[in-house]
Amino acid sequence: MTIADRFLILFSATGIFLFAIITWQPSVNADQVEIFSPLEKKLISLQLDKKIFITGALGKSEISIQQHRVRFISSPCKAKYCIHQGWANHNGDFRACLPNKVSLRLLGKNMQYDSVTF
Amino acid sequence: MALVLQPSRDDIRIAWLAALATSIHLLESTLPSPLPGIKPGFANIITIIVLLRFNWHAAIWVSLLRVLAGSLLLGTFLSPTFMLSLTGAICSLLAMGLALQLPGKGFSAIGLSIVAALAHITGQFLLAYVWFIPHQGLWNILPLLLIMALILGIINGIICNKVIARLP
Repeated sequence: MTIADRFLILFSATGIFLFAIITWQPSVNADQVEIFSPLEKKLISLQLDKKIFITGALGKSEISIQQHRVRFISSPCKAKYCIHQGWANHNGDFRACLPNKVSLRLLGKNMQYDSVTF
Repeated sequence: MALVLQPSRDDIRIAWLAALATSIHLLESTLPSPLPGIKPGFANIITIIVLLRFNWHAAIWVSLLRVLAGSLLLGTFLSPTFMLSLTGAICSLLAMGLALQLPGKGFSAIGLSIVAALAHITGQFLLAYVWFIPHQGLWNILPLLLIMALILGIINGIICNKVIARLP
């Protein structure tokens, strides 16, 4: 092993370590949820726990906000993928029910990514 | 009139070494991987030995022939797997070419192997990110891949040094 090898190992290990620290920052929690449906577009705060009914293409979707998180509770769709997607609490998280045309997008101060890439 | 191609001694040597690298590549592809993207990369040992014993030109031939022959035998030619493999090979060859320019004693096989491993995974990652999965979440896996590349690069480099020491 030459001196250059030792320096390379040292530098790359330090570089990767710093990169890991920057990359593995905990995700930022969202403040608001934006709800899209064929009829309306709502912006609701995640501060208060509540249940919301949204009328979609097939019927009513029930959405629950609890402890700064949001999820679909019930939906008139067949597959129930929206319900199985579970809780969303990070900026940029996205939940959608395609058959009922209802979707949620979480918004916050520091957007890590937008729902297009999500 | 039949066209006869007379292979030179170098051609035959490159073919043998590429065949050896391809065999290692094939054997390695049967190993289970804990995570997509983590792979020992033992085939690169041959590339590095060729680079140190012969030259960069020969290393390019061995590496690219290995990718081509390996993909044909595995049935992944021109598939995304092949594209990733090719990108990794090209990136590591370029990086090793640059690393060889270092003046003085320079890198041993260990340094070259680390440079190659890091360039290989970075290139593959960027291709995967730009082309296949343009999702920010993908970045979370990169530090892990780089750590594994560093560790496996060091191991491969040590193997290289041992092999070179035993070569006539």
